[in-house]
Amino acid sequence: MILRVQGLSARIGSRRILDGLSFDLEQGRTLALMGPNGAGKTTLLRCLLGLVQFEGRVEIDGLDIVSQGVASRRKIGYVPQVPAFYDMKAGEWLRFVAHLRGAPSSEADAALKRVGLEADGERPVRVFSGGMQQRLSVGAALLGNPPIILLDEPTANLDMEGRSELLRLLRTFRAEGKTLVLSSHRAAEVRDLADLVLFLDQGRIGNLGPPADVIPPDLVELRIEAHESRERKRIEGLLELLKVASRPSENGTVNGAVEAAKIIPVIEGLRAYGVATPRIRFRPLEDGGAS
Amino acid sequence: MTAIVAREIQDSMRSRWFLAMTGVFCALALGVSYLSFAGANSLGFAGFNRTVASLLNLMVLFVPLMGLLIGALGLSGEREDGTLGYLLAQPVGRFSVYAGKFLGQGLSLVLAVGLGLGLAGLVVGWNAGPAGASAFGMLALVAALLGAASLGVGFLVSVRSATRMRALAYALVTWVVFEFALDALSVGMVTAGWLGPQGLLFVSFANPVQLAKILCLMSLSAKLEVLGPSGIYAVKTFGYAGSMLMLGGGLALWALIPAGLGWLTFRKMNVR
Repeated sequence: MILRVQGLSARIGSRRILDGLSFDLEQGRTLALMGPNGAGKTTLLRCLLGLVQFEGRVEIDGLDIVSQGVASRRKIGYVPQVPAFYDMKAGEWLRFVAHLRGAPSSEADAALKRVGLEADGERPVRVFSGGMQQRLSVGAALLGNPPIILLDEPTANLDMEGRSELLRLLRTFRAEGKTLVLSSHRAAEVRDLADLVLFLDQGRIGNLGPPADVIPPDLVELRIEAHESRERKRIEGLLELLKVASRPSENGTVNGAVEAAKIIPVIEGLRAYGVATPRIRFRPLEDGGAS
Repeated sequence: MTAIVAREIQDSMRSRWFLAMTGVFCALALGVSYLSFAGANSLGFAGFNRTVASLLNLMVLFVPLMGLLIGALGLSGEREDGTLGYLLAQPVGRFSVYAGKFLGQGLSLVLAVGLGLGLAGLVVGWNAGPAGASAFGMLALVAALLGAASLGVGFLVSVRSATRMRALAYALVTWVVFEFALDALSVGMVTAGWLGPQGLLFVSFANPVQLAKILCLMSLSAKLEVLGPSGIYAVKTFGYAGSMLMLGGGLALWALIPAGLGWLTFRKMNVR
């Protein structure tokens, strides 16, 4: 096991944040930590790094994070939610981290190239965009070739482009056999990346298993134009027939929610009953995106 | 640890405070030396002894302020910015991070004071001759020790403060206590007859600024009339060398004990 957590409990002040967590993770697997804000995702990552005091035991590749902290952390790359840098140039920063990690400074150039920043090594990090800073942070996590990488909501502060670029990088790490532990609120990303999901609920394991078993399906909101009350009633009946949960109609629309995977058959069903496509609007309920 | 020490020094060298502090010390030393005879309607560089006597009061004001601020803002600021958490997430021991930062910032402070006073010392020596240079050297040494002591207190303030603003406030309050409140308290207690020379010397150990003042005065002159009651008592009881060692040791302990207490908090501190 690359990661073994036994009876992990942590308090911040008088508040218990984590309560008796136990789980294992095999090398090469990707574990996503999910749960509402305050559930303990970030605190769990900090415990895995030995940054906060806790009860219980955390082993990284057989090494105890408390009594063998330095050796354990040599096996962990860390990407914080908000990238933290000193006022340095990108290459200089990576050489500094390489030194701390006992890696040759030549790895700094390789890391810059790996995250697509090879042309920016001589630029100060403070002028980088959020996406570039996050990629640099990922590059730093690769120094010393650690087998496990911890990422705290790595895409939380990124735009669409930055997010897809980072996800592409993470997929390549996974393909190379790295173990990833990441916290995220984004179900779609987790489904895409994770082998296992640990859903935290008030510091306890609410659920642990494959994404399909743990994450509820994405819902798509349907809005169908229907200005007359008779037409609204007819469409409500159609939705009931198609097993789509409908919500109270608003002026001029009938609203429903359907699982993303079933959206095409539902639209086809509506069209078959004479509902013209331009009258049908839909958008994902998760992440606030629109389509 | 060397990487952390080197980064701290490099970071200080690039920062404005390093240049400002070096410049301020150099300018103060040169200004004080040049204006020493202004009262006698005469301008020109005074010798080292006169420069040290005038510079001493400025040194004991500025060095503790810088040391306290640098120490207090260092760890608390990094904790807020997330760089401390990032550093501790690397395969580096907590002691290496703490000691590396203390050594790095301490050396930067000593370098700034030493460079500022050293440059001024060269100019004064060139113009007024080398007499009294040892007292000037002693002033630089005491300034370095006082800087380390105030940095140690600053570190303690830093690890005990949740935010950099609180750390800044506590550092300023500590500076006022060292510079004015403890002095006023001592004077009050002596005036009320609660403290004799022995007690006054003992109370001096509660204030690194007071220790630095007595050390510098002793290096200027071992004559009893300039030392004040606690200095006179020290020299009479422990001898000149013994007193210097005792006071210097006290100042060194002021660097080590608060920094050590800070470490006790830091080693178990939860870091975000």
